[in-house]
Amino acid sequence: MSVQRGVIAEIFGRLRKDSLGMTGLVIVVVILLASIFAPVLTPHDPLEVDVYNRLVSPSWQHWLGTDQLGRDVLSRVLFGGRIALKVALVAISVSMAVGLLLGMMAGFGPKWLDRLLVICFDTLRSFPTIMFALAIVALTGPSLNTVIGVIIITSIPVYGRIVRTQTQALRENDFILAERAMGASTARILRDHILPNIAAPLLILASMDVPAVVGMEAGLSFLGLGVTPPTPSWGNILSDGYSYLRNSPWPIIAGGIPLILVTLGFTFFGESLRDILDPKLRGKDGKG
Amino acid sequence: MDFKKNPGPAQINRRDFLRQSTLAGLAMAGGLPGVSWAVRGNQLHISNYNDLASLDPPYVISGADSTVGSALFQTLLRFKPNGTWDTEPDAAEYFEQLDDTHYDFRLKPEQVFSDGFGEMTAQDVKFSFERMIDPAMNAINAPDMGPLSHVEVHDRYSGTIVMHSPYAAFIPVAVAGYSGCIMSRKAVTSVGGRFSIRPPACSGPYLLRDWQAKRKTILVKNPLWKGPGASFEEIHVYAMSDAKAAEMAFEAGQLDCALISVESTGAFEKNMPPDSYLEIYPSSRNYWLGMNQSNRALQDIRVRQAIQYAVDVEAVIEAAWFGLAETSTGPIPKGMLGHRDNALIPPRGDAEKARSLLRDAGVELPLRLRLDVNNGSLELTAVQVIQWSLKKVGVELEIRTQDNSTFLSIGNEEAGDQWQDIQLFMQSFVGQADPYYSLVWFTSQQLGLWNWERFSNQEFDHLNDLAVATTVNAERERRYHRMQDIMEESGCYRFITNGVMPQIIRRNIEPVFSPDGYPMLRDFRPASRET
Amino acid sequence: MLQFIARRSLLALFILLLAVTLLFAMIHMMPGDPASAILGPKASPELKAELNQRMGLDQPLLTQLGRFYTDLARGDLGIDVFTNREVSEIVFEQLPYTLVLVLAAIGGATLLGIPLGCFSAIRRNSLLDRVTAVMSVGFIAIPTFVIALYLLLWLSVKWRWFPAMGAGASGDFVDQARHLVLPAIALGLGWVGYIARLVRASMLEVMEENHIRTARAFGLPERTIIVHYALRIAVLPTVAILGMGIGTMLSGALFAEIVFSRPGIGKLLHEAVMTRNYPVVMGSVVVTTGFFVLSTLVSDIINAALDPRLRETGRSS
Repeated sequence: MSVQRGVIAEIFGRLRKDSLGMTGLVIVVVILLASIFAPVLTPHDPLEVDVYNRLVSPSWQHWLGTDQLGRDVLSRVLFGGRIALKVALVAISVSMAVGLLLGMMAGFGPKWLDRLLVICFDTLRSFPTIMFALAIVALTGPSLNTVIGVIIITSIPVYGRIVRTQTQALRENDFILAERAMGASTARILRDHILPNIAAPLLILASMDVPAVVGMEAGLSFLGLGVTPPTPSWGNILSDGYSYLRNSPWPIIAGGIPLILVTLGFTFFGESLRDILDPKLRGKDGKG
Repeated sequence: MDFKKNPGPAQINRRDFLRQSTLAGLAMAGGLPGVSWAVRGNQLHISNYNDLASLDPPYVISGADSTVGSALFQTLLRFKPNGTWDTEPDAAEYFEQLDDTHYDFRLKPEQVFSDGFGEMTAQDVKFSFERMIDPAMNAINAPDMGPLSHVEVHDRYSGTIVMHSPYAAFIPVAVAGYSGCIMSRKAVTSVGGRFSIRPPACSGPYLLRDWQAKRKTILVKNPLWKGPGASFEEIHVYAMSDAKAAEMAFEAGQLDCALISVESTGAFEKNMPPDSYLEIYPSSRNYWLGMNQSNRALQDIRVRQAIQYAVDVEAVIEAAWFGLAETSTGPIPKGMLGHRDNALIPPRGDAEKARSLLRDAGVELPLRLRLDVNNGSLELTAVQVIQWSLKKVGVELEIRTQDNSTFLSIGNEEAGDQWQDIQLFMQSFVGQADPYYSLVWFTSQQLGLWNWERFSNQEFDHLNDLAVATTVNAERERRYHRMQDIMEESGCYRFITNGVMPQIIRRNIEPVFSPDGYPMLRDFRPASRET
Repeated sequence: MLQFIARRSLLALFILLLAVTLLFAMIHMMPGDPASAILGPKASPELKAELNQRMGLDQPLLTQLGRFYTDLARGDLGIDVFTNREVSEIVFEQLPYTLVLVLAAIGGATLLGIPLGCFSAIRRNSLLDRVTAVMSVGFIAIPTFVIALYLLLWLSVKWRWFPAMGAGASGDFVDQARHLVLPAIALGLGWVGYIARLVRASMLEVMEENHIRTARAFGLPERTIIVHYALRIAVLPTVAILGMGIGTMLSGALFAEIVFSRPGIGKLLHEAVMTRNYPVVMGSVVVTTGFFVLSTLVSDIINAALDPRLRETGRSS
């Protein structure tokens, strides 16, 4: 649809003027590229053990030094990005999809369904996230899939609620009422009218959610509940670094940087996006 | 984390699963007001790698418990405070082995129990020994007493211990060990026959004044104690299962002696706190890579041998123990009767030989196997080195980490069917003062209990029975050597190391440690002013 | 208003009950019997039978659920099989440490954030304002444990300005305060910028309002206007946000406690998870969830008190 292309161009145009947002976008792109091309970029095999070169400081051979098994930290950090990426992609897309579905059902469907879903959402949101994650892992045992599952479960209510609110707001729209009077099916209305209007807030939410999801995976891996050794993840690079803190500070320094970058990058970008897409700030040429 | 109890039928043998975890732990590095050195002169502040779980001999399985308990109770004989397993009299003034199944003893007079429970008599010895094998007590440590039959009391101070059959480990494990602690019959009976942490009466050099759960235990000098040792007015034992907490507390001046983690030895050597020194004591903990030979993937002995040859033990020790520990040649550590000087397989392994064994066995590479391990950072580092070594010969290892409690049951038949699934695992345990205790866990009797490798060898079992029944050292030595050879030949074991116990000590005290690196609190004393 | 409070409280209680039921269900949904789950591999047939009987695990599920609720109402969270102590005793022993940490973090963040936001509003687009803007956006999302690790590395291990672990000697206030600094910073750093921005935004709104203009017209000094009128109003939304912040901070506190080896409910929970100590896991999660729900409730009530529109829908999002 040409309307969409025009919108994207406009968004990009606005973004260029917002230096913070641009910085965020650049960081995001760099991280994505680095993670995707990690196998090509890494100088060493992230799993290669070299015990007689443990915990060395940064050198030409090892730009970020080595960890307690002599593995190159830089390579591990790059590959850790792939785990972070995978988790973010899977967790966010699934919870967004499910949240979208449930949210639309709640917003558009009968009152009792709405009540039921809201109660489900609120119940899940009443747990402090990491505590809930720990409780589940205590029962099922640690694994990356468990981590992804927990993130999905705790994220669905967030997306669901937003979608619900938006759907409810739009539902009373004259245009929608007219369509319904003409006999359009619910599915069609949802798809053609509600969905496009929800897309923007959802994308913004997703973008702001990436840091949280990546942070959660890193946190759980830090606690030893995520990926299994020897797979590198930013979280377990940090936890190894923590164990050997007094021998070498480099694993911690190196492991923290990507997390900070991802957080700042996606947050700046998301905030910019919100400023751009938020109707209040759209200005005179508001397309409504 | 100490494994509290592995109950079941009374015949199940127990093991001492002492751990030095550097990550997890409920350390509370605090609670001590800033006190000046002068006041502290008569107090000893020391860390213990775990909080007390029980002090009653039938149920104690942790070295953290026996470290404290040994300061409170007496045994007929005790180990000399000189870093060897030699014994000297403690409560007994006379102890003699009459023949294979009879031991005579006579107590010193005027050894008094605290809290008004009176003088120690032979009846107390009888009570203490016999309650260990009393079926009603369900004592985890009953097997320590071996084939004990009963104790005969002749008069107030003397008696004879009678065995059903010869048991060479009796003196090191039962008499001088924690299981041989002498309790006051009157006191223990008055509290119902058993106690957990607060003993009803003690006759040793110290008394338990206070136990603050998960923080510390305070011992005070027993005013009724007349023997040697007991040089401090008070001993404060801090429960610090996190070695880092102990290290910090030591640096902050709160501790006089602390067990530190292996990885911190380097940092301490560079930055030694004032007036302190580092001493690396040997440990009798024994780490090895075990293989479940009943599992389909490991049934061919060539596969197991290939794995044995693939593991570079020196690299493992370099990574996980910072090169500070020695390679082990079997469950029997250096300094103990029966220790082998060399293992059959060289410490660095032989990758080429491993590859050719796998070729001979005709397995399809990469061979995928699973390895189960405890989730401590030491073990994880070690197994990742093993994983890498195996990768180089074509074996892809999947590492499965477990928490301590779960891990300790993976080979146990009673816990389910998972014992069939396990393939490789990294195991460890701490032995006792007698080699019998290092090897008994690998007998056929232990199948489904602690013999996770499903190793079963008739010659091994037979030698084990013979070795414990004779007291001729040369014979025992020969047999234990042969037994360890058999273990290695079976392909089920790759011995790694006995580990180390790095202690950091303040110069104002003179510590004493057992041969396996545990503090002998009774014998600690303030340093003499000569230097 | 009272009606709103009553309704929301009831709803909160209901949600809490559901959450707790979910926890209860989880332990029973696991493969194997609950007694094995609770006792772990230490379970011998005798111990299991004893536990089954003592906890009524062999009774129908609904009866168990009922007992669970009544026990909960009495404050009985079960027994820790490792140490034979009451779970509630263990949990409430550790809880104060976490609360102190969270309060310190919030206190610090507010003490810094409010003036910062105030100045940013007064001096718009100054350097300070722009730095605060960047901080507010970015910092709150950085994982607490990363900040904690960096603080530990630089300020404690490297420069030794602050202690690296523990809560400090009991009874020694100064020592405990010293031990509180780094963890509190780790927890609260993100919130400083966030609060500053909130205060700034609401101050800007308020400063344009009529009664402020009137005060200005009357010639009241700017300083008085700010402090007596604008700031007071601007601060209120912050208070409401903090209610919710406490909940998020509980998760962050867990990491701060682990990195700095502080006692607290986070450390307790982590330890319990690592040792599969289910009664303590469940007890800790129940208590923290309770706190979370309570703080959200309070924050909602405050929000509704400020903005009557919210009393209908209950929450703004």
